[in-house]
Amino acid sequence: MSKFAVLRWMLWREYRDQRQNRMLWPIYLLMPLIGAAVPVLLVASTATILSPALAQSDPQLGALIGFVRGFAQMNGINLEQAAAIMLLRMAAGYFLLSPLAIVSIAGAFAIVGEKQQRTLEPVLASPISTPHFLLGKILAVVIPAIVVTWAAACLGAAASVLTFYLMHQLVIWPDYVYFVSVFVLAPEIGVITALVCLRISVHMKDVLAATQMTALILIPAMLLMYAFIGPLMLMSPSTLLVSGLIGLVLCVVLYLWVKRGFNREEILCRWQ
Amino acid sequence: MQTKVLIDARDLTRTFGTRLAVDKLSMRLCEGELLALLGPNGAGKTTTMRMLSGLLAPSTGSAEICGHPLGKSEAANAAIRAQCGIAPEAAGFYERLSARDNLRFFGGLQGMSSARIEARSKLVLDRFNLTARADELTGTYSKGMKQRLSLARALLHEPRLLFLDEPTAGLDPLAAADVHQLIRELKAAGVGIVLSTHSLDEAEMLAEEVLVLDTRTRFQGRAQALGRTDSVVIEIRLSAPPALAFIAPVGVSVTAMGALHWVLAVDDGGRIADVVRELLRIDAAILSVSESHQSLRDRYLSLFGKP
Repeated sequence: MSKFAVLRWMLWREYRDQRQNRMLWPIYLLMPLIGAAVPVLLVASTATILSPALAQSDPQLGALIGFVRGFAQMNGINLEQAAAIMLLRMAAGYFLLSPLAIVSIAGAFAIVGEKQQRTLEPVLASPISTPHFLLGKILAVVIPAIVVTWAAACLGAAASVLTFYLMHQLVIWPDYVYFVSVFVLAPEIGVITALVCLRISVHMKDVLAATQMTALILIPAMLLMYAFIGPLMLMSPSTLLVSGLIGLVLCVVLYLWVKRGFNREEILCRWQ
Repeated sequence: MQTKVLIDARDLTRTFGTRLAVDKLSMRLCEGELLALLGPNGAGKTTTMRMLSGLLAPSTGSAEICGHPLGKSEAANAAIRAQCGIAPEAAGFYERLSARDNLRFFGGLQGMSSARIEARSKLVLDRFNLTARADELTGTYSKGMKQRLSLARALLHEPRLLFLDEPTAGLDPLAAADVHQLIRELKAAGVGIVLSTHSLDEAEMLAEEVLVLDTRTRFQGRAQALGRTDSVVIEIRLSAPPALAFIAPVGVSVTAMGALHWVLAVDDGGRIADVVRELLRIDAAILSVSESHQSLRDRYLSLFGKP
């Protein structure tokens, strides 16, 4: 049996099922809408953030403006442009949270949903291998989250560029931090979240318990991601590269952990 | 033409932690044969079916299923699963998908081409009278319809070996008769079938061999042999209690003795004459002396120590 064919059928089934799942639609629609708005709102507030009065009242903002000034000098652009690019970097942080939120909702259903519908036995009774089954499950929740995140990021970036041009008659472009965050780190976070959710889902007996357990683990993770947004703005290309590599290693390690924890026999016998 | 052996299992044992689920099960099943698994709840019937279909590895023992060694490697188990069709007791379907989409998906997992899936789906949906509602969500199906769809799914990829876990449970008598007819057709087509059932009539009617399980094998042989014993049970009806005491001849034991109705077990059919002579000696007012064969049900119950 072709590996690709099995994955294709897994994804076909998952997307048909997801299309009918009313619990998933709000998050699939809401997250990209917010995602597209965040960069625009931040870029639109460039002038406000650069106001001297605000910088004087907030020492942290003052320090940031100092960094922005240095960035502007280094790149030969004016202060507004530099600030807008920095704010786009901040907006990129949202796109790290987006896959985490979307995947965690869909991922909670991944295995426990099969258990509840009693479809796990007929699926495992087919010749499908464990890696194919897991890969199908991971891709089924990660692909929509990534598509939605990328669409929101592209739309947000385009709208920000246009907004800034209309407000300042100057052109800005999202820099490497924005692109690496959206196109490298966000998918990695999606995969990591999917793997954690799968591992939790394997051990749960109902969707509610799986959702609660996922939330219990992922809320601290979201707070951690939120704390990462500040440093993200100041990251050099090499630091970002290292972050990407760490994310990749984490994906591989977590996959092996999930695969080890996915004992077909144990799952089949224990949940009944 | 030589009949191929589909299952050749030797001393299969399965434990879950310290709990012994199946103990040293040995069996053979050839093409076109049906083996009925009987036994009380928790006897290990489902575990046996899961082991034989490549879903569970045996703890000890060995088996060859459709020519592949069981539990030797994931590839061998996958090859076994590809040859087997399973209709589990609880028919699980994706309830937000239609019956047709469910069949498409499970056919895809079996490695069938899209064209073959469509052709076979049409055939099995027709066979189980589900065509009219094939595009409705399975969440709206009744238990009986799900049971029929489960059989349709098990047969979709034309397996050589079929595992049916109580396939007629929840079906009306007409639908059950249809399933029995289907089983006969499949046997005639050379499909080997392992049927787990609580219906002794079903086992007697369809099975070449019966395996009564209660963790270990209690009985294994032809269905007719389960209903037969070496002893003969005779029932005696009297019009009045005899004045003298009845002394059971050698080889005869009293199973039940009421005032006017006695049940005796006679080891050897030839000694029935001794019983009649004893009845004449005590001058019993005999209404009738008749031989009573134990039913399959009686024999099954007696295997578990129930009179």
